[in-house]
Amino acid sequence: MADTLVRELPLVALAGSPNVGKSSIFNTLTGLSQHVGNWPGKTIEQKSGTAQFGRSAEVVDLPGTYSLSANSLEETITRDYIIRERPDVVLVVVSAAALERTLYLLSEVAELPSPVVVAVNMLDVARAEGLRFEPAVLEAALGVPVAALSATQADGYQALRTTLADVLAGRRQARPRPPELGPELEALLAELGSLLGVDLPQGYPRRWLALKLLEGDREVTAMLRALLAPDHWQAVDALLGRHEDAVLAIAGARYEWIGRLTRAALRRPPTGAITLTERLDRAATHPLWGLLTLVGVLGLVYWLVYLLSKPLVSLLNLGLAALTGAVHAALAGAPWWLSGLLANGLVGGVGTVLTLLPVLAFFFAAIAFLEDVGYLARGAFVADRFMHRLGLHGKSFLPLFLGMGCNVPAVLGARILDSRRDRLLTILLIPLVPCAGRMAVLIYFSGALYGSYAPLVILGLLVLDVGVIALTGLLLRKTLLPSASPAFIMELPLYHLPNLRTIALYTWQHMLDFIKRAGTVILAVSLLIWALAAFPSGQTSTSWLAAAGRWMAPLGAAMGFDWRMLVALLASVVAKEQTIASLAILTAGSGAALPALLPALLTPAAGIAFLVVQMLFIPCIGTVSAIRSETGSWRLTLLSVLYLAVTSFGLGILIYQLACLLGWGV
Amino acid sequence: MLQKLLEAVYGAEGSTHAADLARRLHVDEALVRAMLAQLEHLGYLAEAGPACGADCAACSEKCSACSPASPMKLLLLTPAGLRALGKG
Repeated sequence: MADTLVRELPLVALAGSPNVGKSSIFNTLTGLSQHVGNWPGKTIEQKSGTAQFGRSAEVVDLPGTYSLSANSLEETITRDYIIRERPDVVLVVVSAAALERTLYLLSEVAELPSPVVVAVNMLDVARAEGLRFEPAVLEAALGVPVAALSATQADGYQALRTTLADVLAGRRQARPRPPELGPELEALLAELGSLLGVDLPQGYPRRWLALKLLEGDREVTAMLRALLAPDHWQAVDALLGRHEDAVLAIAGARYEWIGRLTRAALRRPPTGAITLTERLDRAATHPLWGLLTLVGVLGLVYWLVYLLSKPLVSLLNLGLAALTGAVHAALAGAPWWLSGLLANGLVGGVGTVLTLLPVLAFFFAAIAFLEDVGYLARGAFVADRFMHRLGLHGKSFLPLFLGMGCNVPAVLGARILDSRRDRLLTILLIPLVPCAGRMAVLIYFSGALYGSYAPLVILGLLVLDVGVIALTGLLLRKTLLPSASPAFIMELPLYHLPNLRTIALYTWQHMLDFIKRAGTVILAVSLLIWALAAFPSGQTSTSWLAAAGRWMAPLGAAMGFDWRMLVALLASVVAKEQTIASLAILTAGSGAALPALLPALLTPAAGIAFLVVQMLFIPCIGTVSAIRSETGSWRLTLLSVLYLAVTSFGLGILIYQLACLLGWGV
Repeated sequence: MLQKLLEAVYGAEGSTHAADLARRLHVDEALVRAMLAQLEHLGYLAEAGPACGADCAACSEKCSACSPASPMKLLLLTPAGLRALGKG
């Protein structure tokens, strides 16, 4: 160790990626003899201590880092320390459970002159995952001692101490063989190295400096630019300019080296013993089976939501009827408008909307469950493959997916798209994604109209919706907004058991939003609709709203529903749930709860038409306003609203007429 | 190796994922994950999102559309990634 600095105690530097158990190893090696401070001039904690490896040695815990590329403070501290202090041993800690990710740092440390010992930690975690690590193979491949550890179980420390003692005493060789980068890169490194001249900064290996220059390392580039004569630097710069993406080849070669090492040193479970995630993903992400699985899962969700919420909705309707009756009775002597306002406008309108609570609670809980167990990402992945064929930009997927919760943030979410064309295409498609409010209304109506067939009806509606989105996307891309559709990688989480707290929190937050909306916007509009439906005579049939509604009657007749259904539909522009509140107010005089009345108001054919229109109709005013602000164009906003109105009514009429031909019109 | 991975991402039919890329490149999925992280670190891939491009804590929308459960992570080729493939 002729090239080490003179110091009182031998120096062992502990390096490793984050989460490899480096701190546990440091604490065990140094025990109570630790000193905690900051790295000079930095706010990052520096820990050092003394340990016994046959003799006393100083151990310094370097910041956790995946590489030595000086992209972060941690990386700069680590590499500067190894180069300037030249430790007697760099103890590189890697994880047996994530060898591929954590060996990259070793591939870089191996380029520096300090002796290296490798501690492969987390053997227990790797074993639990069915991995078998063979330290002797890694040791032979690297040319440095390798110690296997389970730091949390205090297993393997004695062997590590002995190894470090042997290396410090010079009894064992610890010079690593750096990764071979291939003939082209090696020739390039040699050429660049020779251009650097002879007066290199002290402690910096020539090859390492050349590597860092090719990697585009800003610090090393600035240092050498300042050091070299201008003509020298010009030659270096010209060579670098011809190999701008050399960093990709260098890192690629290191990963080939890592791949070879892990293939040799890590035994994986036999082919038959694939993990649960792999097994499930073979079906869940398959182009065909994945799509069928998604349809099956969604069908199951709607069936469960319908089944579980039905008795609770019935119970709430009974309570609501009793409350409405009680309010009428209590206000028997009061003016007609006061009892009507409170019983029909307030209790009937907002109260009926609140009977949606069980539907929404089960719906949100189901979505949160699917997300928490890891399925939703798979479903989204499969759905995206389909959407990609429409030419949607990969980034469009996130806002469209968000639209399932609420369309407003989804429209704002389109900001992540760089191109205006991609952004507009996404914004114009978002209102076609049924938000949670719209879904709840669809489940409520289909449950009341079609009973146990409701989940199938919902599933059919969703298939139709995807078709409309697909056709709209194609239409826009082929006409107004042609754009490219680059691929993207989706990180699929591992399947795991659901966390009830997460699901409860998600459900609660959404329920709270809904209750707030019911108590503000829906309440205000319900009272307005009640007033318009009550005045001037106190009778709905002769009210101002009825007069206006009858003016639209021909449109309703083409879809098989009366003016009340049309008014309820138009009211959904305020909030989707307003449809239910408005209809409850407009049918208040009939003496029955809304779900019981619906089959009398709508034939099966008219019911389907109504659901289709409701699903594709103009979004709530919040979404329209977001479209206006994000597109900056009234023309595009109007185009979006008109397109949705024409498409929804057009399809509604078409489906009603077809259903009548099938005999569902009675 | 990283170049091949970038090419596999570019040539994917829409969205892809680590296991799919590993199958195509005949390497282990863990290695693909590590390489994807490296490509992101080097600026050839970038994460899309958060979906609204804003800080969740500062978000004025109170509709809770963003799930508190594990958010999805999407990686896309950056202009540097496309340039490295000769497509930029």
